[in-house]
Amino acid sequence: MSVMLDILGSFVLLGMLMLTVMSVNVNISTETYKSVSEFNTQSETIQLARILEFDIYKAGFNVPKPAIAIAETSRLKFYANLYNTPGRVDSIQYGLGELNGSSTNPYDKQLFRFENTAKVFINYSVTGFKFTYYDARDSMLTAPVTGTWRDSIRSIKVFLTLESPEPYDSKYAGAYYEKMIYPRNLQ
Amino acid sequence: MNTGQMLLVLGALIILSMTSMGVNTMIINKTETMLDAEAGLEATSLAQTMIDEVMTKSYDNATVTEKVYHEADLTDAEGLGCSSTERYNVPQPDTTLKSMKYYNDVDDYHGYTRVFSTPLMGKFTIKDTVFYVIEANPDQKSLGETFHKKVVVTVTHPNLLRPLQLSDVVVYRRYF
Repeated sequence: MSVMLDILGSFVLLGMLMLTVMSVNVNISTETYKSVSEFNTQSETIQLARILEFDIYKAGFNVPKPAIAIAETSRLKFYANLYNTPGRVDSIQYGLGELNGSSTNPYDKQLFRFENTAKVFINYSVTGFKFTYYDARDSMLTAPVTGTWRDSIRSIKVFLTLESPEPYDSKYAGAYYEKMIYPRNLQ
Repeated sequence: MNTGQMLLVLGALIILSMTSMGVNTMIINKTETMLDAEAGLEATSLAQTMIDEVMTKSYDNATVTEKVYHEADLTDAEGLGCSSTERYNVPQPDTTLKSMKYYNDVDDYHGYTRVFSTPLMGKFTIKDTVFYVIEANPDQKSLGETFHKKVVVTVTHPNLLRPLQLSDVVVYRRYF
């Protein structure tokens, strides 16, 4: 009888042991996935922010007015001499494309960057992308800003939200970037 | 099972529990680091926005409408900060970005506090300090007026492990 109790006890202990090890394992896997997902989303946001800042800070540099061609809520087109090449006028355009059909996330869209004639999709995980425009008195201009009002744009605020393409625990890893950019050549 | 074996089993279970707890602690620490990174990303963009905003303003209250050629004509080093009208128009902490509209020179931002809310991370507190620095060594605070002012922006957030600080030097050179 005592031997039977020992065997039973050892099975209970084995069960507990296995459950503990398995839960630790599951926790590690989930957290690894979660951190990789968050890391990727944050890295992509930083990269996008750097690209956007590189371009928008140069708006109006070494080109005739008007420097801003399109100033809409989710689309911006402007002119700048991006690489300081004599006589050159580059046109740069940002906007949101179609929904990304290849991911589980139902809200992520493609973000495109148009430089002169080359259209490149620079990200596929953008869930929020918005521009707001401000004049010299830092008052917000109603978008779309059209006609001669485009010349009164002095600063551009960029809102950017990225989410991971796949969820964990039915949640998506997200990163948010918001910045008011004052291009020197629009001042 | 005798007492010795029971003790061994108990000891093994304790070691296992401690290992499991160690792993869980590691996971929590990692989550803190990830939140710190996420808050750091937003804090950096907010601090840069703040510095860019300050940079668009006039160097000094004395230079808003006219040129200044002598350092003595600038605002006293002791008296940096906003005027009573600006203080009335921009209550602290500023939550609606009123500084953009009502402040007109760099040192108005001395002692300025902004509370800014973002959709993912909530409220960030941004504090500014402005002081004159020695032209030959912009890291050193000057007790008198100079044509160089340093702007220090400090951002705090519950998820930031330590406050984020960015600084830049504003130079009065527009008319020289």
